Amino acid sequence: MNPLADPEPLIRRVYAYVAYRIGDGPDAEDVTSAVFERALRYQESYDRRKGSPLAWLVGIARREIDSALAARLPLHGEEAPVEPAAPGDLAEDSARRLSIAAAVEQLDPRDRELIALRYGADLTARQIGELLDMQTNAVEVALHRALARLREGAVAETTPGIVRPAAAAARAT
Amino acid sequence: MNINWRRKERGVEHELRAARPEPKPEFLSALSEQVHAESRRSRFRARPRLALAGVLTAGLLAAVGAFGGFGYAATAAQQAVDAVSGILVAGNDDPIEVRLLTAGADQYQAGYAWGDPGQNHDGAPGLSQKGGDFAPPLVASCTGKVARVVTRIVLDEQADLKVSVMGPGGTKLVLTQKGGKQTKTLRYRVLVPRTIRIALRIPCSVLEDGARYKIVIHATDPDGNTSDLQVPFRALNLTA
Repeated sequence: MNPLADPEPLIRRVYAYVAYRIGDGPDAEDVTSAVFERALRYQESYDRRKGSPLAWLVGIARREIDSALAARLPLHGEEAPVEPAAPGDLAEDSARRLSIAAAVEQLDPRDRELIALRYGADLTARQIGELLDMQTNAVEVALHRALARLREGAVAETTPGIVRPAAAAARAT
Repeated sequence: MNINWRRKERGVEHELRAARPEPKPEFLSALSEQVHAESRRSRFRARPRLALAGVLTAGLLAAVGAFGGFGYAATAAQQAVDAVSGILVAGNDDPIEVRLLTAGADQYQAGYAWGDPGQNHDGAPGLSQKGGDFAPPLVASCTGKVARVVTRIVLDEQADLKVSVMGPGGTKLVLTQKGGKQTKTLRYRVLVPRTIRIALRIPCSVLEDGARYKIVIHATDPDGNTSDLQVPFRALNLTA
């Protein structure tokens, strides 16, 4: 079986996962390209009994992201932050994307990983459990908590007067 | 769990799905074509070199027709014919230019398959700047909104190249491509080891007058061995 026979939906899912992890844009494109480059090189090693092509690619993507983040670590703080949506100057869809992206960016790495796997790569709780070596119900509980924190962050983002903890910390430094 | 909270959670889930980041269409189609072509091509690795020009031309046209191209490759048969003509006159000086989003390759170069034993050796790929220490220092100056920097490298076996430009703080700079598209890393598969001209376009807005930068080239051969090369350059006369 060729795991890359129908690449387009796989590229979409891997890109969404990567973008939720490290941000939308050229870096996400770089990592996505590197994932497929590696997958092409090792496609003979794909074993469908161990999981779907998407889960296999997401496994590769996790390692690529770790490398990309390690390489970028000293540069942290130089990156342009995601601007919160200014009402009225963006189409509703773009505003929503920016607002969600900003809220996801504020999550801790563990929550961000779970959100990216579930809503970016569109993996099931069971697939996520296999990838992270967790029980399915533990994944569901962790996702539930991550969503709660995300919602709190999103509310703070869009409500005047409420300062996000991470943003406040960043301002203090 | 109360019903109200459940409803709110579903709202967040809906938002996350609706706002899922989407790749740019040109990136999606370029990478998709590349994966299609490469995943099929990998079944036919190490094919013997085709000796006759006629066979080569027919083979390349068939490949182009069946698989599209690698990354930016055009699909028109006429372009394939032009490219093949170029090979037959041994024009091994084709530049790597930033054309489209992520990838390129020597797909129209002479009939060496990726991994061809005649085009590879044991160990890491030999990668150096043409002229070595005697190569003149590189300078990037602006013409319009874009600065162009050109160098030549020597590669002694087949390799996948990743080319990027690093700023003084270690940041990767954006490269502008033909048509205005941008990427931070240019990828190119070299099937014919040779001296290769690399021409990059960098938006003047991301350069600082007098600052030093470097072109970073990472080569990976078909066996997974890697080599790196850094070519420094300086940005000057950016306002000219």
